[in-house]
Amino acid sequence: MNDNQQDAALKKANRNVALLLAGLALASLCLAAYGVSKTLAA
Amino acid sequence: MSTTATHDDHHHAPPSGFGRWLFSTNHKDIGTMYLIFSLVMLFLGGGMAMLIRAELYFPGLQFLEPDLFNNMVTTHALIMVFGVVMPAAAGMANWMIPLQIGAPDMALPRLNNLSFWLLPAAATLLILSIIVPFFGGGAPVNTGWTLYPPLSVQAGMGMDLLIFTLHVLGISSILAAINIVTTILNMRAPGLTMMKLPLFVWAWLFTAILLIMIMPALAGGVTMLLFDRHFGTSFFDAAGGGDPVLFQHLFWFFGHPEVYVLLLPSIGVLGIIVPTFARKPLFGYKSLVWGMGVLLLLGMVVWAHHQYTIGMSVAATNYFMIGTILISIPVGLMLFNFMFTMWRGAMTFETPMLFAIAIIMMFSFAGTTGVMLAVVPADLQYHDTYFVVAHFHYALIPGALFGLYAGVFFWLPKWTGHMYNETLGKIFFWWTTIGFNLTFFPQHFSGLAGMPRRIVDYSVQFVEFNQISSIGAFIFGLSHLLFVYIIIQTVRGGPKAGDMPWEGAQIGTPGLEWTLSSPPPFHSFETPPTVK
Repeated sequence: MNDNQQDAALKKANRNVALLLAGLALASLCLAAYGVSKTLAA
Repeated sequence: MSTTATHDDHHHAPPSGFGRWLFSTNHKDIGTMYLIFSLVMLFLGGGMAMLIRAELYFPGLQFLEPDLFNNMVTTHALIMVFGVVMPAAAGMANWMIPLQIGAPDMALPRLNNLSFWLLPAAATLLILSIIVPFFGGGAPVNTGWTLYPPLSVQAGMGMDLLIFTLHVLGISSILAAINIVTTILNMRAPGLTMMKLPLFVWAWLFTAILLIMIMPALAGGVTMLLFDRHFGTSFFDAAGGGDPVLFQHLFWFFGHPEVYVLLLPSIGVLGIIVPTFARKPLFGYKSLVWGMGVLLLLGMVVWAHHQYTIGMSVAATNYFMIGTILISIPVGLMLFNFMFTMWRGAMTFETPMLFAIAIIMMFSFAGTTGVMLAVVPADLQYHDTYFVVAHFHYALIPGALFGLYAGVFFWLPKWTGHMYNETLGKIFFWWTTIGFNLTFFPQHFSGLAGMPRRIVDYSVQFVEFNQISSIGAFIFGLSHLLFVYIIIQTVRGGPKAGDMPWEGAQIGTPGLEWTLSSPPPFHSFETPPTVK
């Protein structure tokens, strides 16, 4: 199957969880950047 | 858990030709492609290991220049981690997670296709990074898989290709991880609550979350490396106000949890296989789930135990030492749970179970040397010796690779509809186990005697240990030809496997995959099964 065959509610729920997890990845990148800036500023 | 299998027996024929694979959104096809890709890469990375061991059979230079030798060490590691274990585990996740949770497919099937097809692109870049030095692309990448500056900043064009390889692999891993978490959270059959999930699914949930959190640190680190190399920054250059140790922190913030990314799927496989062949329910299911969660958290906060020799404060080294030793608690809990599952079980010793028992024994050994390495004063002696090489190969070959072999033998009948040849399976088990131990056990001693790692030449006092290692490596490597033969033989035919090919499967692993035929239909669970 592909995602066109999923019903609308499931498709939306899947998209929301995927976006949330992408946000988690972005937050991790921000944390690393914060660590880098603190280290280089010290 | 009792189930009512109500999947529709649709008769949609799978698409034919190359398009079936190139445009596939089917989790089984994509899983198969992941598994085939990892097998091909296993032979490439294994071939490099053979070259390394052949070179080290005698002291002195034989046929590999020092830079090329270190390039082989670097790419062997990267291929084994990113090209073999991770794709093979992802292939198993693709095949089994939807089947075990009663889902028709992964939550984001097109993303699934993209995650896979990024891998051959990354592999091409990786291979190019080896080749370009032969065509005027500067020195080979000789940093080891850790890519530490300043060596990595000075390396030739191959390093740029390697950085892009890691970018592409990182994107692929993050997309696959997002897909897996979304599938587990949203696509479970009605009634299949989280605490009814097979352990393999739980293991992959934790693995995927871990991947999402750690890959960005690696991507950021190697991007900064790229900027230092070409755009005049000095993030890691002390002369420009940067700090080379900063890269080590970024790398190991990714690199240490990565070890658990490689291990956890195999722990999940053990959680399926041990109860099946012990014919007993898994002992301490909830504690195993919690143990994996604790492992995830602890694994993320102990990265600098790889860097004891950089001169951290006593407080910092104590913190990382104690944190690292604490990891032995959840790991020990898991191993004891598997042993208690076997206790007084009606055990039989088919190939997957033989691998499972070997994993428990040999991984315990890696845990013991791991505790030795966690202790700062001891590690200062062992650091950068073959003792470390022996330790992590004992952790990763039984802990990750053997777990995948166990999974392949366990699920091959379900995937193909045929039973594999049990005698050949057992021969393969003993062949690999003996070859593996012959290769890596002597390295503990050469390491303790002071033989440094990542060096093409060595003192004559280490000759015997190295020759035993090299002979073992060739025994171990050649056994994989039998592995491929068994797989091809099973795919092409053999005794029919029933829907539940293992007698103890319903006691040990009440997953929904057993409600389907072997092999499962191309479209499975189009009507969700009901779990009571």
